[in-house]
Amino acid sequence: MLHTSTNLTSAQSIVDVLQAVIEKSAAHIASWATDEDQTVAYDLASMSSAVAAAAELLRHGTGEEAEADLALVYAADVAADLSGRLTGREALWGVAPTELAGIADQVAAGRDPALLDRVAERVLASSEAGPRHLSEDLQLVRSTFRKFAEDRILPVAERIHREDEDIPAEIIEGLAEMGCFGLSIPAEYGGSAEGGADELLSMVVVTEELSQASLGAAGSLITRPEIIGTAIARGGTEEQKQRWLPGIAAGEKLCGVAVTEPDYGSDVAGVTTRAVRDGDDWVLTGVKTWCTFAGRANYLLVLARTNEDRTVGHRGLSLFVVEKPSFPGHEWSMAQEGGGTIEGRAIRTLGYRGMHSYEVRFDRWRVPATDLIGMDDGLGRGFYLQMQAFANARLQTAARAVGVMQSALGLAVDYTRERSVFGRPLAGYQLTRVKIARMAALVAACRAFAFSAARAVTANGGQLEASQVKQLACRAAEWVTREAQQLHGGYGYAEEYTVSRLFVDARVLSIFEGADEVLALRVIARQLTKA
Amino acid sequence: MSLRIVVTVKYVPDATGDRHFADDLTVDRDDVDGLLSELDEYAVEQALQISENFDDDVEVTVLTVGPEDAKDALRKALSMGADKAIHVEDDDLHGTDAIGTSLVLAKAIEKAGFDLVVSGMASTDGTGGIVPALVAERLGVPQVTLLSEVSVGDGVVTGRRDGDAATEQLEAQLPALISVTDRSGEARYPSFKGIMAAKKKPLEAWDLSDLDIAADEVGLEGAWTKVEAAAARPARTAGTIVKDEGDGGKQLAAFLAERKFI
Ligand SMILES: Cc1cc2nc3c(=O)[nH]c(=O)nc-3n(C[C@H](O)[C@H](O)[C@H](O)COP(=O)(O)OP(=O)(O)OC[C@H]3O[C@@H](n4cnc5c(N)ncnc54)[C@H](O)[C@@H]3O)c2cc1C
Repeated sequence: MLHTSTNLTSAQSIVDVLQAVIEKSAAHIASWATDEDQTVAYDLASMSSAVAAAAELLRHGTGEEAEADLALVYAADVAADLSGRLTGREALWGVAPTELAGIADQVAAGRDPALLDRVAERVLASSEAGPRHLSEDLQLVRSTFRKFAEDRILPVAERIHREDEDIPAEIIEGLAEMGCFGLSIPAEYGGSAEGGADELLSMVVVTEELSQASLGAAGSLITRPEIIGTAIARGGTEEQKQRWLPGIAAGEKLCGVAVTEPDYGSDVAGVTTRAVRDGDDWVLTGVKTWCTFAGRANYLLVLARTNEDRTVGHRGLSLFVVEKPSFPGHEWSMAQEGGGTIEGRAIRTLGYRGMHSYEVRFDRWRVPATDLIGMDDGLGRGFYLQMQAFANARLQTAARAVGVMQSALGLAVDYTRERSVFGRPLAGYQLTRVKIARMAALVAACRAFAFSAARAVTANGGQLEASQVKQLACRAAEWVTREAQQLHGGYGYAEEYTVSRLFVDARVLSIFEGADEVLALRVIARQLTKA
Repeated sequence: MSLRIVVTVKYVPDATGDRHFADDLTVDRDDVDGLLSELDEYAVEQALQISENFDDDVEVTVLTVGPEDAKDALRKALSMGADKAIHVEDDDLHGTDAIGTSLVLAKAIEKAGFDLVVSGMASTDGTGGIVPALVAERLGVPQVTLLSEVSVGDGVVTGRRDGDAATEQLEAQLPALISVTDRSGEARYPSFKGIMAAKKKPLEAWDLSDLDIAADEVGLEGAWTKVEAAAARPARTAGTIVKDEGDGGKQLAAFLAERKFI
């Protein structure tokens, strides 16, 4: 017999109405808005991400009471958010003020503090947002990486953050042995990708576990091989694949991505670093910035202009793999016979420490023509290849955000159960419990959405979903870590408490891998209004 | 010469979980997650290292006797790199003691075929540590237990046993049984590929009839030992906090001396 509960039906009703509103507004906004009308487009995109997550959370569950409660809490939260954004702008959205009236009762049920209290009770008992429903294999993947994270990463995570240290070789070597760097590299080139339906999902699961221990020192190590591996696998010649991919997959060759420039970040199509052909070489000159891990990296993926004619825009860009020795520390430089140099200098940051993000200056650095990805076929394809490669990275970034949030949720649970204020455990207060429940619902929704987006991308779709979940989860991580920190009171502001690291780490997530607004406006809203 | 290694592994309740006894005074496995006994991970690791350093073909089989969920322990060992697995499971095994377990293991090892049996030094739940010796006795092969270093070559297994009073260098003709300690070398983490490959590796399931063992030789009924009573460990008391006001060291020393630790 199918187990249904009222809460499940209520959540479904809310999601149905919200999906209809998003669809309707998307069509309406498409009918009048230009690129200049960003305000509603941004809200539409953001809400579409949240609504999609609510739908996935509902689909993810097995219909048991705990999951139905969680799905309802989240759906009602999203409805409340949407209604706030709609108020006073109904005409712009093309939605009647009464549009959400039909689900008023369901939303009331989902926002009832008593329901949130019940959800909180479960979360406080388990530190978990809800079941993951992983296959046996993925459970083993999860427990294996979790154990590694607990044994090897957690004990050093605070020190790396506070002292702005390099990531210990031990962590990198351990993860390399476990095959972390080859998750998306085809098996024939030494990776573990064989086209299985769950492959990206594994990457998501591994990323979450590592990020839970440390975003900077572990969870983000996978991002770079994901990007470079995908770019080479899709655009490289056979010789290049054989030459580069096995080393990346084995973790013997570490990677950095040098795309952003001081004057071009979100609008990378405009980058000015140029590559000029000279005999069998290309000569690279220009400044890249925010190149994370550039010091330790052996391979830098560099986006450069190979066509002097700037009017061809992004079609004048190509991707290079610049080979270099691995350097520890915050500053490094190298010189070539003939005068070419590269210099790297780490930018001091609030968080996201361990890999260090560098400004990298290329001055007449010679790169063999065989190191342009795709060689002659790759000329002018750099922008496309890089965009494709970033799709996986968005998904991976969403998983990083989920890991950070899960960590914050766990710390909030532990702390509020132990801390007493006004003679009562913090976890006993209604407001605390409502916070914990909402945090958990958000974590569960982002996780369920990341899982489903991973499956969709594996099946050659999911581009919209990968962007949506990245956009949603990264913002959610800010709020969840903020609430966790707030629950810690003064201690949450002390470096000694892990939650303070989570808060500053989470802040970067909405900036990189597609800034929040740029993803919302230029990827999500465009797709939604295109139809 | 090829080498057949059988590693005996146990599925134990997670020590960080809320472990307790069932009404019949057996370990309640329903309410707590289980895993491959950490001390047996060392045995798997040593078997894999022997396999990697051996000149000829080696087949590493992991064997467990335990409930349905014990497959998880086997899967973990397979993902670390073992070649195949055998799971002995039978409802009549419920409540089997160490002596009964050694019978089942020995019969299964014989049936599987072996040159070397590798066991952990003890399980992390029962910590009896007698099963390896019992199995060797039943198999009628030499036992070299509690090794912290092992190597195999030319029909013999050699190893080092670190005792309190002496370090012994031991050797036995194959076939033989060894057990290894937690100082034999850290167990590897399964690799991602290993985990994915594990599900394609053979996992055989045997019951008591496959091993010609009668139900009354095992289980609670066939047990030679019996748990008479079990009580939860009393809650920890608050302990003593030493406040350092310049004489913290002295206070600590006095505390230890009083209890004859120093
Ligand atoms: C810690 C860290 C690590 C990084 N690692 C790497 C790396 O390894 N490799 C790499 O190449 N890059 C990396 N980056 C760079 C990152 O990808 C860029 O910072 C990002 O793309 C944004 O570019 P920008 O900083 O130039 O901001 P800008 O493009 O100047 O944007 C500034 C802000 O303006 C808003 N905005 C932008 N466009 C629009 C628009 N069209 N409409 C409305 N608002 C808009 C957004 O809020 C945006 O955040 C990293 C950044 C950080 C902080």
